[in-house]
Amino acid sequence: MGREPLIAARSLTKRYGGLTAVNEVDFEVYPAEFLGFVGPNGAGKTTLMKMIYGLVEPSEGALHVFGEEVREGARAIKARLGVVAQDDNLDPDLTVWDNLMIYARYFGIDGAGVAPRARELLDFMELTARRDKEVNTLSGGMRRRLAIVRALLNQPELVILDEPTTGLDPQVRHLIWDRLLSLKERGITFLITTHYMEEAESLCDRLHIMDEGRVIVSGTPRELISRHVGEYALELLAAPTMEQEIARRWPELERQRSGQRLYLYAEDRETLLPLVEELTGRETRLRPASVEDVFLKLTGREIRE
Amino acid sequence: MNRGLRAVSHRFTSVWYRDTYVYAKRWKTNLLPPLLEPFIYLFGLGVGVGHFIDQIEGVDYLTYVAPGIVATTAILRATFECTYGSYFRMAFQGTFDSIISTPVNVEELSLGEIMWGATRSLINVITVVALLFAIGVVPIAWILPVLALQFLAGINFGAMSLFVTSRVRQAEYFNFFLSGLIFPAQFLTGAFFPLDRLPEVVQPLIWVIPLTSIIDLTRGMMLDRLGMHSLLELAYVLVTTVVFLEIALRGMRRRLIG
Repeated sequence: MGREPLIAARSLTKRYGGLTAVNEVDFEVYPAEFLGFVGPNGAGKTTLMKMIYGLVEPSEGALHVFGEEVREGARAIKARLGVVAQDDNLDPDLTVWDNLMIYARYFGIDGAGVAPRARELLDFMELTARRDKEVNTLSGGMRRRLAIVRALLNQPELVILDEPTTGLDPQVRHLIWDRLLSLKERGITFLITTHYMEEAESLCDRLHIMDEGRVIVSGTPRELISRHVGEYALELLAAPTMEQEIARRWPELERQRSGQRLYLYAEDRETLLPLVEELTGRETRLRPASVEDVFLKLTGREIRE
Repeated sequence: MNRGLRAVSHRFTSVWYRDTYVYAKRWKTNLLPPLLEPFIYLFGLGVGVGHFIDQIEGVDYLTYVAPGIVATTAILRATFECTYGSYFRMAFQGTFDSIISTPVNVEELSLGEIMWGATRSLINVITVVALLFAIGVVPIAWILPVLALQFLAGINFGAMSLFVTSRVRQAEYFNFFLSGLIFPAQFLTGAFFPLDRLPEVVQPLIWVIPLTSIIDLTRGMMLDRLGMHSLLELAYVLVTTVVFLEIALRGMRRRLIG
């Protein structure tokens, strides 16, 4: 990609006292791409997003958005940015429509000028019927869609979505994914954080996997899968003695254990088939490897809280 | 990068507009209950207590306390709005975070909140002054200057309150500010009885609180007793207003930007 990046971060670091939330992160976001940051809770994703839209000041390193330094150019940057924050902070004192009209004022967009666009976006996100409802009467899925509509009012070039589908049912998630992809086709650039690997895989052109404040690997979803785990995975319930047996007979297979469950990875399906035959009668699952496998391999399987 | 008041542009009006719009939507519930308070003070003190007081500083008691009730109404409304009101929007509603993710900066957000607090004060003060005018306690020529002064008083206490809001960790901490400073100030700064009734050591200290000057100025206007000391009082209110605005805006930046 020979174009100028919309966001360029160099050794970007954020410290809170002794805690380093974001640790020397480098990345770029290019026009019209869909870039994802994935990582367990506390990996530093939200802090990273907040540095871009000005709610957190970097401790060290350089961060440029639209070519401007974030602190110096904060106002100009935010005029061109759409933000969907993690805790959707819609205005609970206002109706759906008023939320949009009041928010537009913060951008200095005049009410009459922005109304047709607001109507069109409500329609796009299937919220037209809720136009005059108080925000507090909306479901979680509607609130999130409204937060996306609000983020698009100022015709942003870049939209930041911090965990946009957390806690939503599958129907709403698929609706949101569909709408985001169609916006991407219109040339909007997206920066998203998520811990749903399915979401990362289906939306993102490139992914950065974060853990403990650092970006540990980057690449397209396919690259990450083939580089770090292999194309196919076999999942089975296996005691440690059985694992030893498998390790002895198929030493070339990559292994991962999570409690009772054993995961085996290979470059192709054929490599795993003899094993499946051997294990006939046991519960096994042979499937294409996913970003989730990469993620769990690299960030470990223990619970983060 | 500019900080404090120097970082403010006209965009603060969009925050002021938001708060005013929300208030106007529910104006009946918003306007009536807080209005009862000054009327109860006027009746209870002016008519009730006033019955037992012949004259105070040459006027009847109702005429004497009326300016005090006007000024305390002004500072109390702005104080509540910029403590509990602002804190609620900041900590529980996420409203502040959503606003500063737009081209509106923290300083404009803060000034918008303070100006809204002062506006809300003014709305209540207007109704109190209208009643006082009707019963002949406010001379017509001084109505506008009295209202302008109360708006300034609202900014002064709104800014002081928003500074406190920028420092509290929980809403319960407002009790220290309200019970420790605001409520005592309401009674000790000359609204209800002359300052010379206070112990002599306290008298100079009480002038530190801007409300003392605000009440004396309001009374000066309503009783036509302004003098050279009034200019000094006005200067003090103006200077403290600028200082409170500056520390409120800086305090909110510290609070909201990680």
